[in-house]
Amino acid sequence: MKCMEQRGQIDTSIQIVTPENIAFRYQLAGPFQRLPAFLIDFGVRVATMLAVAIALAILGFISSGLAWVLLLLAYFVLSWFYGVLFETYFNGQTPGKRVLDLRVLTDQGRPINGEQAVLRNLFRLADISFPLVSLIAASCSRRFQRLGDLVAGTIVIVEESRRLTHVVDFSEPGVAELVSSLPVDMRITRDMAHCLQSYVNRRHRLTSSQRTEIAGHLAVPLLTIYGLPNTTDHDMLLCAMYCRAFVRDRMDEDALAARAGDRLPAAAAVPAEGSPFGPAVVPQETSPGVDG
Amino acid sequence: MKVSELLETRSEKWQQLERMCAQMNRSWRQPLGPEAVFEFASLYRAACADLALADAYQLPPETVQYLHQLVGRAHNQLHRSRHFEPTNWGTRLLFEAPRAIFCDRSVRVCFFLFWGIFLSSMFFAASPHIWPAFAEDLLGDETIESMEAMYADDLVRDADADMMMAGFYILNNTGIGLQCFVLMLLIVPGVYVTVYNAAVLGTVFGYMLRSDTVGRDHFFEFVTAHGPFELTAIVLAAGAGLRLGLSWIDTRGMTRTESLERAGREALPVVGAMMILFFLAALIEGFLSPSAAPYPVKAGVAILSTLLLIVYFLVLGNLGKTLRET
Repeated sequence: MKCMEQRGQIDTSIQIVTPENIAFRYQLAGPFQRLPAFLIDFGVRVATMLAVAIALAILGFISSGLAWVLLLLAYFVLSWFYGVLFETYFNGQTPGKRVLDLRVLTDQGRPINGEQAVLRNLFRLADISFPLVSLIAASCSRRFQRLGDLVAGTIVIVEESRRLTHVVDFSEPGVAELVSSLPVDMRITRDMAHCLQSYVNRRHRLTSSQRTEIAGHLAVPLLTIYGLPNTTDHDMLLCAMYCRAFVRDRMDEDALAARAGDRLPAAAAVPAEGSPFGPAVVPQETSPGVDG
Repeated sequence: MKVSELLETRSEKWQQLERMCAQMNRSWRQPLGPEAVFEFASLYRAACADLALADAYQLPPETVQYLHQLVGRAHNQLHRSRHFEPTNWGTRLLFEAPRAIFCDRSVRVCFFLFWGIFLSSMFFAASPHIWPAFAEDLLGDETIESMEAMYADDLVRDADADMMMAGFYILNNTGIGLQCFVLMLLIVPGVYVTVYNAAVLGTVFGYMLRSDTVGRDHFFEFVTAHGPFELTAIVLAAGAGLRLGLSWIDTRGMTRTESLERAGREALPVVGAMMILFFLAALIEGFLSPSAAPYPVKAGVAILSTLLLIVYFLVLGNLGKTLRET
């Protein structure tokens, strides 16, 4: 079953379903994130060993035999159980992993236990002795599991901390006006919303001619559907739709209320003349939902 | 409700959850008070609910990714790594480990492999006719000279040296055992390490058996006491490793990774037993073997430890087996 789930996976993320029945994604850590973490840990180990040696050298004149035993035991513990202790008692992180925001979890995405930490750290020796075999195992497993991870049933993930980004706000003056001239009951489907989001998030990297060209694919048919003048800037139209979908709600309503206030007396005064112009006036029959 | 308003109302709670995650990750022990834990849980549930409804809310992809990471981080702070459970170590070491070892065919294979190589190289090294230069060929002249020099003098050292050597034996011998165990995962290198150690140890024993060797009596006086524990521990290490190595060839109907994980879990008590044996052997080797105690005491320790091993493997192992069968 586990393999079946992975067959569809084409990127390096892994989906986890929590007891709260929420599915969320983790980014798996690749060799180029794990190797630096290992090197940092190695440095920490060497530094600790040096510190212990210096401390014992100072105390050494009391009983050199005891000092030697402690030194050798410290070396034994550091070389075999450094990772075990840190990963067990620091929630799956060694100092190196912590610096690089990595964490060890079981292959089900749950926290590891002490025994798994023992296994994956003992078998590090096999990975170091035969790096090629380890790399092959890691690339075959689809979850970048080295030999120790395979035995212990663990994975290493990246805990990125991205900043929360807010909805894009447009400073261009034309956008706000264009928003109010869009059909009022314009429905924006889910696919269209996605498309608008992708466009707006990328548009600051495009030149104005590129914007016009790319936005044109969507904007040209939309202009005719909404009955807007053909001179409307394509880029502006998509931005205005984005605003309508995500940003201006209250302001929009205020504007509409104001406009409705403008229009009502006029309409009451001259009901017969109707409203031949004013693209923003919204007759029901010309308000198609946009199908993505 | 439009997305921008939704983000306005929610972002504060998300950022609070973010801050609490960072705070929990900074400190080692349970860092939050009971109220804070309660608050954390409710913030986490709210973030989970927001993530679940992200599609319905039509949140921007960046925000969805942010939520994935936020929920992931909070999940890892809420569900923390479980520590060791020393309460069941007794059962595992006294009942599970000997049972696993007794029933394990790979331990038997390694037993015969190790002792076969050990005894045959001992025979070749001791016999002056078949292959007279066997020991010199295998070990090299320098090693033999230093070995003879080591046992030429009296064994007794001062207490400081005893302690230092005990530490060294723990480091070195347990290291060799763990190496045997780990490299057996890939079978070939593990078999190489096991065979190499068996051959070197056997040759040393055989060479020392020769009547013309310097330091012969000292050597046997030295190795008697700790021999049983140490040699058994190496066999155990190799056997437990071989079991793991075979588990991803013969998967018994499971997938390869499942089979390997299971074998890894089952090997742990055996590794624990092995490390205890190495530790005991190192203590004996460090303090009793080089001491001035009369030879019968050392031989008595050897006999006692052999009896202990027999009880452990045969009686406890067999008991476990019959218990499981009934």
